[in-house]
Amino acid sequence: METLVEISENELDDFIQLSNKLYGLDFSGYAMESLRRRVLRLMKLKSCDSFTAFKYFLTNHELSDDDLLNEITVNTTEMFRDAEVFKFVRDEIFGVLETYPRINIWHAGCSTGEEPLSLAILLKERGLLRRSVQYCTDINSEVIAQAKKGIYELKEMKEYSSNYIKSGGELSLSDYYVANYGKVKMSSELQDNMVFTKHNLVNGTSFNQMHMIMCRNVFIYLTTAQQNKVLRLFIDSLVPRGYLILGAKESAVFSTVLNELEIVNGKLKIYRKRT
Amino acid sequence: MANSRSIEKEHSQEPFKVALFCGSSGAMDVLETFLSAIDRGLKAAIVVLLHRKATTQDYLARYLGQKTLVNVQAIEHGTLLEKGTIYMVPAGYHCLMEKNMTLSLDLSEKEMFSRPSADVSLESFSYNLKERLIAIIVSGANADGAKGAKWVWKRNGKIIVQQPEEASIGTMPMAVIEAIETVDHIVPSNELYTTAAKYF
Repeated sequence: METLVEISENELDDFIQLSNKLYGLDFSGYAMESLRRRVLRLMKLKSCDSFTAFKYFLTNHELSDDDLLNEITVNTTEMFRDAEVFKFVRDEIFGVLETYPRINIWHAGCSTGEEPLSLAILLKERGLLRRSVQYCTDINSEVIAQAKKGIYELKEMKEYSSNYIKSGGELSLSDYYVANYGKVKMSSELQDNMVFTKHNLVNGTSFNQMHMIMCRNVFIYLTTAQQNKVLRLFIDSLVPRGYLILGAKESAVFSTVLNELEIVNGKLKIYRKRT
Repeated sequence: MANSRSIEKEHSQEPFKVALFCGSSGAMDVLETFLSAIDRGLKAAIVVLLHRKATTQDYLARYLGQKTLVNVQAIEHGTLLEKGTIYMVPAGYHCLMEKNMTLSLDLSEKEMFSRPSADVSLESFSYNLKERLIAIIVSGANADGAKGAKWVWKRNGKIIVQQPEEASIGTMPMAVIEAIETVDHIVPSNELYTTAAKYF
């Protein structure tokens, strides 16, 4: 029987303190069970069969700060994930966005860049791409580097194409990439108006007035207290009547700032800042 | 706010049992039989985890709500577990149990090609619930659940498995039976609920 590696609550606290002291990374605002699962996974990966062994590994600094951050954070994303959301943005929100001379959009937690590209495609089809600036931020500099490249696996494209069509895409997704060696390179024009920056949502500050903020599947990794902090930052970063879009299974309903938001579509988690 | 709210509720509630129902291909009929046996005074919470395509809509909760006498709810991140309710794990996310009885969702790697994965949920649920967890594993075509069941067993939870010969695909229940020394019960689908309810 394969040995079952386990860590206690105290050991997890130990990990949080160690990574703060030795790596300058603060995981204290992370959702506990997700964090415990990531730590267990990393222990297995590094063949540490006890927390003591893992502590030794961490204190001897066999990982770089970026490596540790990469292993602990989850960067799963897709193009046109939850197509209904993109369809709603295209059909209901673009009409409002196009009234602004310049459109500022913030992808908070952009990961490897699939969402900014998805939105860029829809903006282009609406003739809004040239007027838009998409700010793409993530805490993890490695995923930002990948996002800038705009290179993805060809095998994912079948599902992405079907999501693109469901999002109301007017052409074919393959019009936006060239495929070679099992990879695709997205058309560089889509990225012309993207700004990539490393940014920590939890202690970061507002850097511009946004017309729309997309932050999908970041809140699931944060404690409620941190979620409230980040929501505060978002509200401060939105223009009056600006849009906020969270992940399909996330909610701002229990947050302390709900009174400052109006629910545009509860099912799709689309909110709007009150004036 | 959600935190203080859940803490209040947590304190106002007696500890109750949680049944985690895990299934894959061929599990739908078993689930319907299971749910139709539930009576109004359900004293536990039931969480249902089925392998589904990630793009599946959440009609399942509504559909199943018509098959049973108790409330069926689709899980979102932060949903607080209460007794007398059935919770559906959404397609495309792992589902974890926090110490304060709220459920967390997670998009990390698939396990056994599955997200949600029974292994992931069984491990997390048993970590925080210990002997208060009742795991139910039914029809499915892969071995997801076997590793998780080891954790449930080690942490003194109960394990109930659908008879592999009776399941439309017996691989998943069989894998659990093979993985641990003694499962608590191996029963046909129409006895799954009554067997679990003995522990509620």
